[in-house]
Amino acid sequence: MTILKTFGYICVTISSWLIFTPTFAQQPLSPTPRSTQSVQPQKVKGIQYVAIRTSTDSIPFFSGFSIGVDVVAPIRAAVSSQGGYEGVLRANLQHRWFPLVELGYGVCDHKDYSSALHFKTAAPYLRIGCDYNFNKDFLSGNRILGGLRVAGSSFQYDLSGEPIQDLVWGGQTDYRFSKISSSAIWAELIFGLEAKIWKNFHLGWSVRYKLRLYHQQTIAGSPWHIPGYGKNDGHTFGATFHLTLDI
Amino acid sequence: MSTIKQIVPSVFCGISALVLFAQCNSVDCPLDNTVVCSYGIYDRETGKPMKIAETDTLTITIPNRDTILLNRANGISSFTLPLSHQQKIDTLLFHFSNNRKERSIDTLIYHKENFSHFENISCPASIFHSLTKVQCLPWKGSRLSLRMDSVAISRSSVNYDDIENIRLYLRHH
Repeated sequence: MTILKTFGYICVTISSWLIFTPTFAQQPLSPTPRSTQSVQPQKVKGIQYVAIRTSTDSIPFFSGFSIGVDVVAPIRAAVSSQGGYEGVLRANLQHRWFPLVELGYGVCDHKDYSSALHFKTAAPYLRIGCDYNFNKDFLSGNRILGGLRVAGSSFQYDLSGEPIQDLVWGGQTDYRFSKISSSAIWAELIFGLEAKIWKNFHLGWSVRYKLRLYHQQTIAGSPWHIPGYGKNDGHTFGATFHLTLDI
Repeated sequence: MSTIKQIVPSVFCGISALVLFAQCNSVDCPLDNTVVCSYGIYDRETGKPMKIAETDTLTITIPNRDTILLNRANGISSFTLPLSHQQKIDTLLFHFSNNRKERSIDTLIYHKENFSHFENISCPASIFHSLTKVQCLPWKGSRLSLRMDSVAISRSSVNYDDIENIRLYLRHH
């Protein structure tokens, strides 16, 4: 009899588990609305995989404009001998291609204390080119950009120094040039990152390899600095730190 | 929070890049930044380079000045001299002498244009030249075996390059 009682309790317990356990397992994390017409998406805890959109088929070809400024160049102009002011107008083509125009005003007012030479220029420059967004999730607003530019500047500069003493033949020669005209054309290869920080505002940086294609020699040799290019050398590097707004 | 996580690396990388490029500065000044005119001595007969014999000497001076540009040189086949910064015509006196204390003076005159040159902001300012004409006036009364015969411009541009600019053809017999 004792065995039969024990067997009966076990059967009742197991039956209870079988009845109630499925009910708990299928309980939703959030209350499920009874109406089937207003189904809300389920919230899932943990890592959620979202498929990245990789096709631009349904995105309009022209997706807007961006305007931006280089925020570091004015600071460099204020605290050092070289800097400038630069703005960019950029078109957005399907969030992949960004044809753009960069217009800037480069300044340089440098005096070298070892040679006593003083170089001064201030002139506009123009860059035309295109960026490509390599980010797979190109609609996220965060961009990995690579691009090319062709740039140019026509400028005037002043160069002056101490008079040159002729210790052998005697006398001295003035060393002063004023408003020497020159020009330069160069190309830039660009890599940059851009992050969406708030609404349509983006903050980003770019590093640039600059290759000089042409520069005009003057009566005083080559200009030491080219607005928008920097120190006049066959090739050089540069960087920008920019704030842009999608409009 | 995620926005801040996006911004911080971007700002950090940007500032790092700016600091990196701001530190790249160098002095691009040639080590040889003196402007001199280079002379080569040639045998008038053969047209080949020759040396001034050990028994002869060559001294070069500037007329009406006590400056000696080359003092009692012998055994040389080339030398360099500075040019005036402002004059369009320079005149040099070539004093030849031998071990018998015999002397003669030949005159060299060259015409040139002078250019202020800028190499780099960290280099001293300098004057380059372009030779346009050179002529010599041998002393006809000279009894020395060594004397100047003729001169020629081999390279008109006088700058930092130590390349022969003027050829001096001497006769020695």
